[in-house]
Formats: sequence, structure tokens, C-alpha cells
Amino acid sequence: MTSQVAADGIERAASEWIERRDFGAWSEADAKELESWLGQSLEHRVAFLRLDFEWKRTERLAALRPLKPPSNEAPAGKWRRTLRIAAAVAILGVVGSLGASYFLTQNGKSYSTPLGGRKVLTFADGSQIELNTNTVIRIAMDEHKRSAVLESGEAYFSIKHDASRPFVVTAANHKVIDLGTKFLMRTSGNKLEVALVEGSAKVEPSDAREARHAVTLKPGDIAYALPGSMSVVRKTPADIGSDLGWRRGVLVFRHATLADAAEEFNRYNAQKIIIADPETARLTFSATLPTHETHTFVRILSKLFNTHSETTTEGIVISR
Amino acid sequence: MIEKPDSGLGTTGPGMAPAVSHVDVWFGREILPLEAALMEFLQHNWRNRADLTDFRQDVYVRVYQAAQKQIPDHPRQFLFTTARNLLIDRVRHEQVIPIEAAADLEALEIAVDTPAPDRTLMARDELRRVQAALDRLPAREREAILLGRVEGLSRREIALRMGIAESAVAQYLSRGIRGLVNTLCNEPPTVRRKP
Repeated sequence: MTSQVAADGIERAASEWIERRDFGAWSEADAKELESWLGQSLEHRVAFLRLDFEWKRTERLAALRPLKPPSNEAPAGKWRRTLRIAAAVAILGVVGSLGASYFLTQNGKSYSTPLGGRKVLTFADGSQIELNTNTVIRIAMDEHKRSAVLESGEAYFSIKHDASRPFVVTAANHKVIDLGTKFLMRTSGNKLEVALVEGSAKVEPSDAREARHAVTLKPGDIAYALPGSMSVVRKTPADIGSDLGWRRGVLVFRHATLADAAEEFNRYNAQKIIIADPETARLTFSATLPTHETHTFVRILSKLFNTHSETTTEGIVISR
Repeated sequence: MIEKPDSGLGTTGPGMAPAVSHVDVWFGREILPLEAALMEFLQHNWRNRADLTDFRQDVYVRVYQAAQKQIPDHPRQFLFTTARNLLIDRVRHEQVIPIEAAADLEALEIAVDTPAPDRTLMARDELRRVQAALDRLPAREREAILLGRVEGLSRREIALRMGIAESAVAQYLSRGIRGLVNTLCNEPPTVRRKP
């Protein structure tokens, strides 16, 4: 039977429960009271579940925290400055004496792939790093240290754990510290995306003052880092698998918008795909296509959505 | 007959947080992410916008009720079939036959198979979406939510910080929660226009 209870009022009550639970002084008696409210009707329960599930999704985004300017040094200001100068002098001393090895690990050896390229690097300890299209990475490995700097692009890391030589990758002002893992990293500009496939890894801002933004990833977690913010979301194994399609030379689209799909193809191919209007860009489809088969993609679109394509000097323009 | 503990969020133990049943988990994972598509469907097939929130609630109750007996194999199909049945019931009940609605109900089978953007698949945009949803909140609600969610302050601390009564903070927070969730679920439908 269709209920006639007004949904708005229930939604309001449910949000008040969540507010009390998360921001008030919550007691066991309150928890009991909530239970009994939830037990009163399914309307209550679904309204609460809906708000609570969505609200919880924003929870891990609490790391939205804006960067605080490094102020608050009014009382201790003078001291801090003195210490900072002392520290700078000390660092100069260290660099002076250890100069050579410091710069060696800073630079390491550089590897890159061209547009549409792919490369697998295998290291003496059995670790592997697989570079995707248009990627630049610097890698330094010696008996004391294993580190890499992902300058741009995307790479899949399969790292043999060694507690005495943790593997640290730096990208977009963040460090990823491997705790024995397989993970995927992608960076462009100041954005960084880290998807953990296996094991565990820690992502933290390079700036120690921002250490509270650090997160430890579990398999399925994806961290998105921007300057001053970090968020973690969870993906299903299937979705993570889709993100790794390029290792097999394919792009896996699951309910992807044409805008996203075009952007993906453009990462691999010199001939760019341009979606003419936002309406078309919002259409969604699912398919698995070889990374280089731009033309197959274009043909499928015309079949699915009756799109037209026109080749210009800019690229292939798709419209409806 | 074995009693299943599905019926109560709090049937297991005296903890501070209500226990979550497998139906709750299923509902959150399979049904709630389809809300934008569901609302679009309801909107498309019902002229009176004022009814939509109640419809959504009724669809959810029906789906949840069915899932307590048995978890449906095809959540998406099940959700839309439930929504369609509800609309048909309502049309009969009101003795009104909106012709365009009837036509669309016929076409539903196709609509179900067309993949709609799934919110879980937009993870890449997650941060941006939450930020956008926050931006759409009225200033005081946003401030309260940011202080609570991002700075981790309690209601009392927020009241001190904002210089207002705790009861006012409670109101900003609960309204903020609703506003945030409804934006994230692609609501309110009144904002989106039908072509």
C-alpha cells in the first residue's frame, strides 16, 4: 500500500538525528531512542539510511581541510625564525658534505614514454614499474634507498617490500610510501591520483606541516590529492580493473560519458577527438576498446547515438 | 522458523551506533546510487513535482520491504519496475490517465537497459562534487558544516565559534546535511527543467 506520510517531515527528523549523533553529546540512551524511532516505520528507516549513507560518503572528504597559512607564530615568532636560520645553515652543511650522493638520489635515472607508448621497467630486487602513455619518471635505487619521482603521466607499481629500504614515490607535492604493494599512480599538473590494488601504502603531503593530511590506503581505495586537500574514495575491484586496462592495451569504459572517453583516447593518440557540444558530451556508454583505435570509437558512437564525425585540422569533431 | 535480524538497525548489542543489517548495506550500495536516474524517471512520468519526494520515499519503502524477504537479483531493474508499478497504482487510484505518462511507461523496458551515469562511477569528480554541493548551501549552513565536518568541532564549539546559540547551530547543521545530500543525489528536481 502506498503510504501517505509526508516525506519532507521524515527527512527533517532523520537529519536531526544525524546532527545529534555526530555533533551533540551522544549517549547510549540517545542511541536507544534512535533505534526505536527507526523501528517505528520503514519510512523512517529508508529516510535515515538515505541521508546517512550519503552523509558518510562525505566523511572521508573531511580532508577537504583548507591549508592553514603557517602563521600563529606571534609569541614564539622570533625564536622560530632563529631556529629556521639555524636549520638552513645545518642543511647547507649536510648538502656540502654529502653533496654527491644527495644529488644522485635527487636525480636518479630518467625514463619516459612517448604519446601512445608503454614500457615495463624491471629492477634487481624484482620490483616492476610499468609506464603508461606520455609519462616521465625518475628512479633512484641503491642499497640504502629506493625512490622515484613521477613527473607526469601514469605508472603501475608492483613493489617487492623491503622494510630496510621503503619505496617512496613523489608526485605533485605528495609522497606515496609503499608498505609492500601494487598501486597505480597518475599525475598531471598539481593533481595526483593513487589507486591501491594490493597491500597497503601511505600517501602524505611532502610538506611535513601538512602531515595530518596523510592517509593509509587499503586495497580498493583511491586517493585524490590536490594542493591542500586529499580525499579517499572506494572502488570495486571491477572498477580498479578497468583503470588498469591500459596494461593490456585497452580502455575499459563503464557508463563513461563521451567527454571522459574522448579525454582518455586523447591521452594515447595524436589525432584528437573533440566532442562538439555539452549535450553530446554527457551521453554515456560502456565498451572495451584498444587504446589506439580512435576510429573504432568514432564508428561505435555513430552506431549508438547517430553522431556525425568530421575530420578537421584540430581533430575528429563529434556532433549529433 | 528462524528470526532474521534484518528488521532492526539496533537489534545486536547495546552499542552506541545502531547495527547495520545486510539489507541496509545492500540498499546503500545498490539502490541509493541510482537515485538521480530514479528521480529523472519519476519526473519524466509525473506532472506534479510536489509528489516526487513522497514517491521516492514510497518506492524506497517498497524496495526495502521486498529486500527484507529476498534481495533482488537485478537491483536496477527491480527499482524501476517498482517505480513503474507505483505510478500505475497512483494513476488508477486517482482515476486520471495522463497520456504522455502511459506512453513513457510502455517505453520503460528500454530506459532500464540504457546505462545512466552511475554515481559510484564518478569517483574522479567526487571532491569537486562535494565542494560544489557545499558551495550551494546558504552561507551559515555551509560555515556550520565546514566547522563540524572539516575542523571536527562539536555543536557546542561551533556555537562558540559562530557566536550563536547551540539550538541555531543544530538547525544549520541538520539543514546543511539535508541540503548537501539532496544536491549530491541530484536534487531538488524542481531546479532541473524538463525539456
